[in-house]
Amino acid sequence: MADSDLQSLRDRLRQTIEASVASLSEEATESDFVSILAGIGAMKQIATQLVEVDRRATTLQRAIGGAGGAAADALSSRLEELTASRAKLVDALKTLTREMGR
Amino acid sequence: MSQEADEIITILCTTEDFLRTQTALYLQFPSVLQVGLDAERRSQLILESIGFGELVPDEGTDELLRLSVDLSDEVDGPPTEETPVEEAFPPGFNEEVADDRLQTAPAPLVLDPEPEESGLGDPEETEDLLREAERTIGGAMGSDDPDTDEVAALDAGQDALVTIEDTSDPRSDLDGLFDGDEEGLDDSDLDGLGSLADSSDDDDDDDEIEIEIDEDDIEMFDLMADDEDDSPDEEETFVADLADIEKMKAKMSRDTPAVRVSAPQAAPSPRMQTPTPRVAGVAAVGVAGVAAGGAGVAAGLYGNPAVPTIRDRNSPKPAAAAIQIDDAQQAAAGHSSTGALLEEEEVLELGSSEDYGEEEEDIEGGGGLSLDVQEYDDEEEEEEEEEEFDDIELEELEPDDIALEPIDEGPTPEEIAALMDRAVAAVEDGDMEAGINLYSDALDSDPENVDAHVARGRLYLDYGDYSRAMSDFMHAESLQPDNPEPQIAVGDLHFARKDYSRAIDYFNEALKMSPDHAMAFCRRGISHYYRKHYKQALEDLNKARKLDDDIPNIRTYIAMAKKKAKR
Repeated sequence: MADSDLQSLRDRLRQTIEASVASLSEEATESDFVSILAGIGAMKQIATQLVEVDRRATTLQRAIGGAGGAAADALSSRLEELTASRAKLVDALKTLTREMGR
Repeated sequence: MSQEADEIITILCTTEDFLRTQTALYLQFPSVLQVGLDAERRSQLILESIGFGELVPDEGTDELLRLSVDLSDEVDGPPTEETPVEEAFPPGFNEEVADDRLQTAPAPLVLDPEPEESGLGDPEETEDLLREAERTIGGAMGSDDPDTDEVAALDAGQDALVTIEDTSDPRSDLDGLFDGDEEGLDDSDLDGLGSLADSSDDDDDDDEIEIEIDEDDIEMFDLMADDEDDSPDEEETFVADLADIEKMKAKMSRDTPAVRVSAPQAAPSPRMQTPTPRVAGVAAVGVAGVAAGGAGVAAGLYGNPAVPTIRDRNSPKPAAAAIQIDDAQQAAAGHSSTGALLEEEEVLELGSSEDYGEEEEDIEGGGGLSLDVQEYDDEEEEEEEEEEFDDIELEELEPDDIALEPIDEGPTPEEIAALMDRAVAAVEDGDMEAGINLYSDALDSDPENVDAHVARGRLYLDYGDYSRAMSDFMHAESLQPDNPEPQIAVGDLHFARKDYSRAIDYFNEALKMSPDHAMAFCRRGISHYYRKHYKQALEDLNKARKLDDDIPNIRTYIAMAKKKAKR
């Protein structure tokens, strides 16, 4: 798992959100709030799913270590699927972070 | 592995909470809800637009989880390399375990945009609630309450005049009637009082009310019902002359009744002995308060001030009639029943028989109850009666007969604290209504719980219910005038109403009480910020951060203030 990738994403996300919040002024409209809240909501769902995927992947990795033969192959196949899903989730977070920064 | 993801979620949740708070401050309540719903819908659209309508396929997830659960359990045991997965974990195997794990696992992605039912917007439920409320109100105003029934009947144009109807506890009527002076009151004397308004048709009976007066001159008034006086339009009049009581008695024994009490719908058949209102030269007649029923008595009935009537305090129309003999001593002691006069504050004065004669034309031709006056000359007889009465009282007050019920001390402080904890947990879970209910439960048990008042007020404030919020805050302030929390809460309320100047005043008050209150500095700083006093805002926010670095979003606030202050 590319943790460094996720770390940089976390830092960038923090900066982006602080900037977005700071841009809200007293004259902010409902639409402004909706935009930011919607972006945050979407990212939160993706991040939640990311955590879940990581949790499952960890469990699978432990299981693979104790399994063998066909079982290990099946579990490895599942783990690859999860890894692919995780990569998509990280990409989605990056995309949303970029969108929010605009 | 997912530490970074957890941190991202923390950042997102913190920011979301902050923005929702800001939304509540900027926008009115309906708009706040709308913003939340719109944001949820739009976030779903965003997810779909980037191809994450369904992020991780559900297909196979359960199986995967089941596999991972079972295999993780096997890590500690011997490996099962020879056993195929399908045989080792047949369909349905260990599903309960898997379900349990699912329930305890972190919440999976839920993409259902439907908001949870809040119970606020369902029209059918609202109609049911309204109907229930109407039934409740109708019950309170309806036939269960004789007093309100009578008022309702009068409102409907009926001329029901004598309406002491509550027969369940006649003593309660007398409580208001005699202002607690119940010396000599006997249960037997009360019997039949409640039947004043009974719809008895036995008008032929000479029903009477005896009023015993404990004075050197002992008088007995007999209010004798007159056969002819059963018209609803008849009026009630009580006249007594204590100074010339014998003359009055003689006068009343003639054809014309001295006192008429009309019972239009019910011929009264009471017999009661009153306690002992002392009678001076001039007695006021006419007023009694039925305290328990919330009714007052005013002399005058439908424009005739000579008729004593009981009025409901909320209704100008009379609800019942009653009689009380009052005197100057009672008046001086503040017990004067005339004090309960509501509209026609006219007190009938007892005059001599000659005086009465001048009013004779007013009372002729009517039936109703007449006032008969008797006198006890034999003091020994009276003393004997009192002794008998005392004996009865002693027998009735045997301690064994008194049932002592255990006193319900209510919830313990620990139970109240548990309620508070549950309320906090409910609010943290986003269930504000449950939080309000739990705080209300805590306040039912401990009405002087300042924390509960402030916390519930803040929830009302989040709902935009400023009046209830202010009520709770003011109550908390009255309970603990030196506590800064209610001051800050009131300041937040004004802040929410964008009255930043007044909010700052309350934050100043809070800081006078607690000069190191970090949240007060923070809130005042934000108020300064929105008043565009950025330097003051930055100063306050920096103080707040020095005092408490863990204030949510304090860095964000400082960054915002710095940014504005530089310009």
